[in-house]
Amino acid sequence: MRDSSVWQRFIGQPAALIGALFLLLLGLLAVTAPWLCQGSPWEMNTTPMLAPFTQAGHWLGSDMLGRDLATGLLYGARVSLSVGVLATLATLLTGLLVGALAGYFGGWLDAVLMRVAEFFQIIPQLVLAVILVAVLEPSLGTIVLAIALVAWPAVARLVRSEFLSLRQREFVQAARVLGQAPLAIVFRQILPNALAPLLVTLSFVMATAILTEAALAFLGLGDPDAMSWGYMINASRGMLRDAWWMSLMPGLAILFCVLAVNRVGEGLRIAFEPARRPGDST
Amino acid sequence: MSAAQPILLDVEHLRIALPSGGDRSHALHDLSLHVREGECLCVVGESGSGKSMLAKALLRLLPAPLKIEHGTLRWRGEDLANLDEPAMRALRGRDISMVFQEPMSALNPLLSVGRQIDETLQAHGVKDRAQRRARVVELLGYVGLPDPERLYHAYPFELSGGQRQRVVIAMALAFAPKLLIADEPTSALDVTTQRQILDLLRRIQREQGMAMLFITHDFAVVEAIADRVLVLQKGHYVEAGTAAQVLGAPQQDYTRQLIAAVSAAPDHPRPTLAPGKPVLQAQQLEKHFSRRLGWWGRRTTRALAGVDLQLAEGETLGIVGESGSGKSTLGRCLVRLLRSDGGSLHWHGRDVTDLPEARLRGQRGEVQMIFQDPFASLNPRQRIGTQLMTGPLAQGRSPAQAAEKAREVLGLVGLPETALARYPHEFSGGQRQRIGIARALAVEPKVLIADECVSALDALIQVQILELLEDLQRRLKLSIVFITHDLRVAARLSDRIAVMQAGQVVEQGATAALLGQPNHPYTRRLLQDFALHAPVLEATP
Repeated sequence: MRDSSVWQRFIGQPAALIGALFLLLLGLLAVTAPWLCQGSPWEMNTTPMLAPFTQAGHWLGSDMLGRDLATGLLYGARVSLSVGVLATLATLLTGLLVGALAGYFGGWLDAVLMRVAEFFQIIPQLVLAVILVAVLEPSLGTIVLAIALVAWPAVARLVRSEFLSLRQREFVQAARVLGQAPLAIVFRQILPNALAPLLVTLSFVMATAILTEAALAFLGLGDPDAMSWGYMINASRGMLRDAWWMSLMPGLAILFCVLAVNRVGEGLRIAFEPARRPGDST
Repeated sequence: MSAAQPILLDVEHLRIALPSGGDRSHALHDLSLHVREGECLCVVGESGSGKSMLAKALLRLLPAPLKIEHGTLRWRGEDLANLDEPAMRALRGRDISMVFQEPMSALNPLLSVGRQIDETLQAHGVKDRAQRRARVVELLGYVGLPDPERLYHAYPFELSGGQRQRVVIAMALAFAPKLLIADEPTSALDVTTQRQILDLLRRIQREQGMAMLFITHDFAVVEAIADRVLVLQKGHYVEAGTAAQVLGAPQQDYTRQLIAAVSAAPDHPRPTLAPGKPVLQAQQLEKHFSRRLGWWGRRTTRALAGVDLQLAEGETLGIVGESGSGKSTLGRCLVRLLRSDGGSLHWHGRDVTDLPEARLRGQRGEVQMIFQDPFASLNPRQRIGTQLMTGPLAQGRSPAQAAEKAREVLGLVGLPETALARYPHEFSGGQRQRIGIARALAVEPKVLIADECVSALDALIQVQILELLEDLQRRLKLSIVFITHDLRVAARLSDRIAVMQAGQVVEQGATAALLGQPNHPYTRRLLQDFALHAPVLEATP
């Protein structure tokens, strides 16, 4: 009953719904890109520096080497979304594990894990990611690793604080008195109640991951085999005066993608909020 | 308090609509009442009776979607609806002021209490600083606070609950109001403090000739303070009259039930127990909590300082004490939610003092706990069926057996089987507490530890839950440790009572003997504070 009302509150918000639909569409286009476009995004198959809407078959124009921009954008979506999703998953797993251990067991384990988390938090995130990718050689795997490594402390701290407060709640204590095992208590009693704030935070982690990937690619640290939005901006930045659209298109793609993820996160936050109140005693 | 006194406040046919879609259409239906100068009118009702809405409507502080649908409010003959907002503001705090239930949230935590009272005076136009200061100190002294000069600079967190409530009262008295509206001002306080605050209000009322509209759910409080009484049920008028009429000869069934609910008399006198074998034994139980202070310092509080207890089969042991006496810590130690720092604990003669959690888990079915807050003690995201099956499954039953057990215990606590598929938020406080009891019973315990398990409930629901516990005890041969701050509840349910103060059991003995001839001065003081209720107890057959 409560779940359906969260869902209703979510789709009741235009911005969140549009964001979600946009992401779905983008995901669909990204998955079907090899069938939608002819050839690879690296293929130089038309006149260089073609302006948008001037030639059928290349609606968004081409870059200085004659590569089709529309194809590049669709393949870029594959990179951005897969990095976003994979990095979020990796962040979730690390953050959940560390946060749950620290929050549920407490004591010296908590102290050690939180000091480690602080160590990662005091280093500028982008600098750490740049160094990691540079040292490990750029590839999808290392980019995901670099992003997850700088993003997990925030999630771990959130999970820890949720666990700390939920552990004291009477229904969790009741489960302990009934003899439920610690792992079962974590998965049945605590986690479902910590899900709402966790989902919201993860959506913002995903937005940051997409931005970080774009920044890395812009700095020339993207996966060299994958066409990505950040790389497209980097490649065309020298021609900003002559062919502005070559930078603008991928820039808009990043903007709308991150905006959509953000709106979905915000929508989730609002949808979960009233549901969290009746649970608390008044 | 004669009828000749002029009428101060007159309410006629007041009706307040609730937003559509709720379970009730109106918070108040056609309520009429009047308060004369210098008298105390008690408005009594359970939660949801609309009594707090009445206070808010009088001060024009109704929460946003609610408004007065019908009716007139007259202050000294003048219709309050004709007053604009500035005039209303001048009336609030000057002629009519209010005292709230929770003193901590009524005070600003970042301002000293002197400053807060000072601001009230300033807001109503007292310009002279020295004059304001003198008045604040006078007020703090008047409400019985020690050393008002020093307290002027104290912050709310430095004061006890009772002292805070005194500050709130001092603030309300800043302009010697004609009418004081008090909304459950004592229900968040200990019995002892509760009594002091009631005495204080009574004294102020007499000395200042102030009228009081006192909102409460507790007939014991009504007894102590009311001149006249008005009983409300779900927004409807039930009956009204002088305190003597309503308390001594209630006309309506509902009133009679409410009055009976505060009575200590059990429906069935408890049979005298043959001495059974002990099912729960604690010897010299110790528990410390330590907190770090600065770099090297440590402050250790002894929550339990050597507690000896024994619970025999089929017996109920009441543990009574004020908040902070260590009774909840004791409960948690007895079910091994907390590990004690010293002494020993035996369940059915087996030592479980230092048994590791993993080995204890299999024995947890023997001793179960019922929690205080029916809203926090159920997992909001699990169906009732799942929650009831948790225990049997954890104790190694098959899913089919667990489901069978869930249905069985739900029947035991008097809830229909349809409850299994529903979520906690669909139930009322009393029903949730029944579910909490069912969850504990699902593992077939021999001992129940009930920690303040009725204190969050309305008086009538309290009685139902207590009756349920008595009935279950007889049918299932349960032994119960009943932890409560309420001597009446303990007296009703317990074979023996242990009185706790500052982490120690200062006196324990058979209920009748302990209440009849208390030995320890602390027990005598507790009894005295409850003596306030005595006339009510005698009035009921």
